[in-house]
Amino acid sequence: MIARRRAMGRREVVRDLQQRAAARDSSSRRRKRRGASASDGAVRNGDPTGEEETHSAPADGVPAFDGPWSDEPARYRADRDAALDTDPMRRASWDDGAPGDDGRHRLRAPFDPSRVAGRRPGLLGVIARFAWRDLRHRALVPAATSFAIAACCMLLLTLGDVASRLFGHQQRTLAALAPTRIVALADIADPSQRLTPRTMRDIAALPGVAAVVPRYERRVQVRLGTGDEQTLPADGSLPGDPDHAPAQLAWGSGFLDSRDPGAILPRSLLQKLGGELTAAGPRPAVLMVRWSRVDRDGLTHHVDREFPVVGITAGGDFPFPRVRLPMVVVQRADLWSRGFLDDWNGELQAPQGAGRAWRALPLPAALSVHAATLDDVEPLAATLQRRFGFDVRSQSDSVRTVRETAGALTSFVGGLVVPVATVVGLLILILQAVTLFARRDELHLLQVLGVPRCRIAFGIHGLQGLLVGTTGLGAALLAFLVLSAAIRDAISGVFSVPADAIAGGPVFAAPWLIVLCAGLSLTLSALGSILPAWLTLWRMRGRVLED
Amino acid sequence: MDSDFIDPIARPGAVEVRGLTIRYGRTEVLGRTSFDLRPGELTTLEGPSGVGKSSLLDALAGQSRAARGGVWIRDHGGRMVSDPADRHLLASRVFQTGNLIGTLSVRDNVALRVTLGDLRDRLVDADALAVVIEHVLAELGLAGLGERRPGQLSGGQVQRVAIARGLVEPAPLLLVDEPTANLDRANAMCVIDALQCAAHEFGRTVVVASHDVELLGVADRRLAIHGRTLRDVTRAAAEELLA
Repeated sequence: MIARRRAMGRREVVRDLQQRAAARDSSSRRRKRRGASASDGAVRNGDPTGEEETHSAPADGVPAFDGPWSDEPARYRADRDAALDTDPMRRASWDDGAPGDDGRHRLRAPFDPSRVAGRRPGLLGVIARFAWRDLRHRALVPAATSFAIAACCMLLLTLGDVASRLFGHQQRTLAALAPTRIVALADIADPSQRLTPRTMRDIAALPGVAAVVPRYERRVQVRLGTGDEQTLPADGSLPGDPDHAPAQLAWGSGFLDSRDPGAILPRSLLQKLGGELTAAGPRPAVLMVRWSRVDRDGLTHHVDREFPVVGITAGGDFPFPRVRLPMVVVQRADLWSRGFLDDWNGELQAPQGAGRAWRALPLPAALSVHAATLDDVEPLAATLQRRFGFDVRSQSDSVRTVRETAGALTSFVGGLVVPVATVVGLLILILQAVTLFARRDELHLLQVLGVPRCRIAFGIHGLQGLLVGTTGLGAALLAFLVLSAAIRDAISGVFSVPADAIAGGPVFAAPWLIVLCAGLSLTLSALGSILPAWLTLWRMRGRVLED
Repeated sequence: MDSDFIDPIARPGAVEVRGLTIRYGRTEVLGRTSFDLRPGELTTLEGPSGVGKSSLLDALAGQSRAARGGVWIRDHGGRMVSDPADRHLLASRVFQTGNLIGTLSVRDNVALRVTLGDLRDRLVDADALAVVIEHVLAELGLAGLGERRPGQLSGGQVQRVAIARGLVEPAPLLLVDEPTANLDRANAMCVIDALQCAAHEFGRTVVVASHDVELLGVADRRLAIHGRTLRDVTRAAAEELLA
């Protein structure tokens, strides 16, 4: 038709127009015969009948039409027919496979979903492609946002990591302190003041007492193989002592029975004596112990014994290390040291002037009372002091200090998260808002093209926010892995933190930190993208897009 | 279905305007105007600048609310719809300045409303859409520019991409604003051919606001806005030519 019109002269064009006008009139007459209510197609201004006040929609029930693509355009036929001939799947999507009378395939109902077998692009894929291209085009703002998020995450990771390590160190110290243990000391010189079995039973019956373990403490010289010699206290210990319960041991099984000829050392003492803990156990594995006493003539006597190491405790026996030996051995050592035995293996002798009240059995000079909970420690200590007259030592003060320090540190890091997140969130919001201000027309165009606001804000901008947030988080983790050692050294130097407190180990030892950073970065980034877009779109409601 | 046996007024895209009044504040742009538009016709809208041509197109497309009166468009189910949101689904609007998304390629811009916008539900075959887009771009002299961004195109090319978007969108009513304003004669003829094709071969209702004499010459119907009133000047133009 276009080519025909171009070939026409001016008069032919006019005649053609007149013929089309006549066809319109004829169509209008046909419609009137059917009783349709619409006008005859003429333009009317003013509408003297006042029809505009009671406008009603024209009658329904007119036959449906397939749509603007229902007639296949002539110029697409060749390509489409060629595609249909080679692709049966596409043929099924366009028609039922049978060519028409003219031998060509017909597009029968292209908008009828029930007839569709063709490929429809997934909405998520379209949104992702849009978001990605948009990000690539506006490289500067996403890069700046990612950098802000990476800096935020890096700061949180560093602080959190150091705090986590310090907290771990303090927890280990706390465990080594045996915070529920109360040591009750009697007068060692006076046998009548020693802890009798009855006294121990009375103490065990006190409320809040979990266990009562007698203690014999004697200073001894110890040596591992040909290593250094150390002088330290040796405690008599029983198999059920909570101080070296299986949970406290880094290696070994501890005492299996009260006569077990073994020794239990803390790991720090093992290292101090020149030994090492391997997978197969401590090396050397035999502890040399020497007891000494001075007789009335001023002569010094020694007794040497060898004990296989049966356990290594994880804690350090803070603040002073001690070695644990079987109760029977230390009892005998106690008697030998105080002159009740001439010979280590000899018979027990009554001291001169001892009456009938003298007991043949050695009585402990100290008692370890284990409280059920930390809250029971102070009342128990007071009772032991008041009622039994013991000199009482507990580590409640140390425990309180460690707990308060750990709490303050945790609060400090937690307190830092809020301002850091706020500043970074505001930064992202400002960045996005400035960018969106320059792109308002684009957002408005998307709205005019019928893209729902949710799809723009939550789909496109939300996805962009997640992409940017993930990039920032990834960059922060990478930077942290590279720089964490240097940062720890710097913090250790500046704040005089013990090197072993924050040394070594990957950041992934604290997964909550990664989760916190991931949650923060993704939330901030997504919110920073979605919120300005949503507000901009909301403000543009009902506005006409201007040329 | 043979379109010759269907009354044009019964096709989707038939428009009935009754007592339409458009106001901006207290200024009345168009007063109490009634007219019909038929599918398969290319209608031009004439008038001096600022007389309200774009406002009328906006009102037809459901992008602005009429002060009084109403606009009805026949949908694919045969019903006449007047709600702006429903009318928006039946209309494609082509702006004079293109209004393209700068970050998307030409091809993505053309397909935007069909892949991401409110006409997505009517997209059934991405391959068919790709074929249609390539043909439309080729028809408008944009072959080989599908992957370019709007920033890499001239003003005339941007305008033609916007027209391509309107042509590809499967909406029965096509509303175009000054499509040939920035084009040389050869490209203007391509655009005019494409608009005629949309009306005569695809059966769409095409309304074009334009001053282009060439375009006015091939229009099936010519409407003109003068002093807040709309007049059909088709017959007058023909008689003028005959005289």
